[in-house]
Amino acid sequence: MPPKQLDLTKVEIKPFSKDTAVNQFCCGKTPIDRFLKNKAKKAGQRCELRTFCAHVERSPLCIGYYALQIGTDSVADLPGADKTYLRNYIAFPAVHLAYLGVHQEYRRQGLGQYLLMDVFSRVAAIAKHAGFYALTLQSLDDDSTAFYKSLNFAVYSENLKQPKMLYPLTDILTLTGE
Amino acid sequence: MTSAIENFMRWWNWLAQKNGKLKFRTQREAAEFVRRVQNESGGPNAKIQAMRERYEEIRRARAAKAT
Repeated sequence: MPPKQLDLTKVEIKPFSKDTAVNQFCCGKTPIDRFLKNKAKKAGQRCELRTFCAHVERSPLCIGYYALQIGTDSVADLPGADKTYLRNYIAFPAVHLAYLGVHQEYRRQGLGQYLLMDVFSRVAAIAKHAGFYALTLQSLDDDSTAFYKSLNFAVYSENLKQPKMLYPLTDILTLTGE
Repeated sequence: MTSAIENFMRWWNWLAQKNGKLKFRTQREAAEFVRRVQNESGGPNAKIQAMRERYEEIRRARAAKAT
């Protein structure tokens, strides 16, 4: 697919709504496409995840998105803790970036980085109302792992093909000037 | 033969995924881990700072357009 020229000053990031056009969204990674098309609406209704979509001005077409959730990794993920009654408790407080994707036609124009920085702004806003340690994510593949490592995201899991990574909240607050 | 290797690899990856654990055992250790990460990195690096500056520039340009 030939890339479409994107002027980032025309990009608006809005909460997912019934008017968001998602059927044509394709970032090339099945789980990321599938979430937006099949699960984002229901996850939003259940308040499990909040999804934010990038649009060019007033177009309903979603050209990129991210989804956030509070809390990650239950105590069961900690070594030797799988039989404790606490297994469903949160092991450490964090905001979890569950999904981030850019439509294939708008790649390599800085939209993914723009979305990530918007995530940072939103994380800084959440930090004014609730305490947590970091922004976390689970990297989908080697390319995304290398990208997040280049930004100083730290791997906090062991033996995972798709490593869990975090970025300290204090560094986010430094960046956003909060 | 290829199929046997593929099956083995699928099982191996499934096992690795199942056995994946975190690098800390308690919430306190998690806090220490995050603090250590922050101290070792020495704050946001140049690449992420450049990304942030670009984001702020775009936001300023958008605001200027709107007025």
